[in-house]
Amino acid sequence: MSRVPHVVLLLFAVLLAQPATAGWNYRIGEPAPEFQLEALDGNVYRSTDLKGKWVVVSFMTTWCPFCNAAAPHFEKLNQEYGKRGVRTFIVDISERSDIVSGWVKKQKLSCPVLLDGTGEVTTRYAPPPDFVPDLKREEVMIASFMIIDPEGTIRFLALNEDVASFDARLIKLRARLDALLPEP
Amino acid sequence: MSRRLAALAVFAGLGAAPVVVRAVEVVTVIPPAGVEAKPGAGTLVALRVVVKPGYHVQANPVENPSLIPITLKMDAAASVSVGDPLYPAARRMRLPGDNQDLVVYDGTFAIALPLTVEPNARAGATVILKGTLRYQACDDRHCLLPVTLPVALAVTVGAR
Repeated sequence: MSRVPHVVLLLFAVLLAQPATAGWNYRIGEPAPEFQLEALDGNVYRSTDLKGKWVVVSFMTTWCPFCNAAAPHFEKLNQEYGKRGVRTFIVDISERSDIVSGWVKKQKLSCPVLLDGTGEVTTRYAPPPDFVPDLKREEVMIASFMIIDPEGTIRFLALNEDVASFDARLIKLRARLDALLPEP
Repeated sequence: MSRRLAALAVFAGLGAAPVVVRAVEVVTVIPPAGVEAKPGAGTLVALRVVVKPGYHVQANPVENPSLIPITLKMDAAASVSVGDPLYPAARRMRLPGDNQDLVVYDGTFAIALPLTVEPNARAGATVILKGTLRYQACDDRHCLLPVTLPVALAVTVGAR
């Protein structure tokens, strides 16, 4: 047998050996899609304005239990990592601004909350359809957390691939931020 | 109207309310067949709700008012009035790292709907009640967008 089939077999073996949660790597290393969204505070935020900064984005809805559980911890993360120059945003998916506004006050969130009224921007950030194909792309992104580096490259995307993936305290997100950010 | 015709009317009624089409059908509503209520009397009708295995829906009432409780809304029809639905007790669960419980339903459960038929309703008449069931479902990993399902319920006016 030539060496090429061996390489192919090896590749197949590696692919088959991947755990079911291999989707953990979805979109990592890709450039973050560009966006321009109005926030609750009335400002318009553009992805191009964020170049040169570490950015953490969470895609949320007011009615999502995962989001409600994580929101206080996301605010803590915003406070703590903001001191290290990290810009933190929430992208709200397809909800009325008055509903979002009430929720933000209740959760005492201080980071900008961008309104993706149609879900179109969220969909552009979503993994391809082979990840949980039964769900709409914006559904896959509900309660997801993303780190974008100063070059505009996605470095982390938490999508709740398995039961153990979610923790409201955002332990994995914090660990990844700590690993990526320069020492304070 | 015969029971068969009444059943057909129920299915025809399903198309009248707005339908959210989705790939994952999480909830199925099974209205009881052969509901009969006497004029001037009240009755309690149980609608069976089946949640797809692995999923749960937010209970009614919810403890966190930001969440969307499962809600049955049925419109009154000529000669039949509808009371407030009665929801079952919920199961408590907690997300990892959260400090608050969620109250949810899963599996199969019933929502009871009080009905009252007017005293002068004609015996033998079949009334189709129409309404919606709104819910928001999650599994252990993902939450789905809220869904509003059409619901139809045939009620036959019994003899006095």
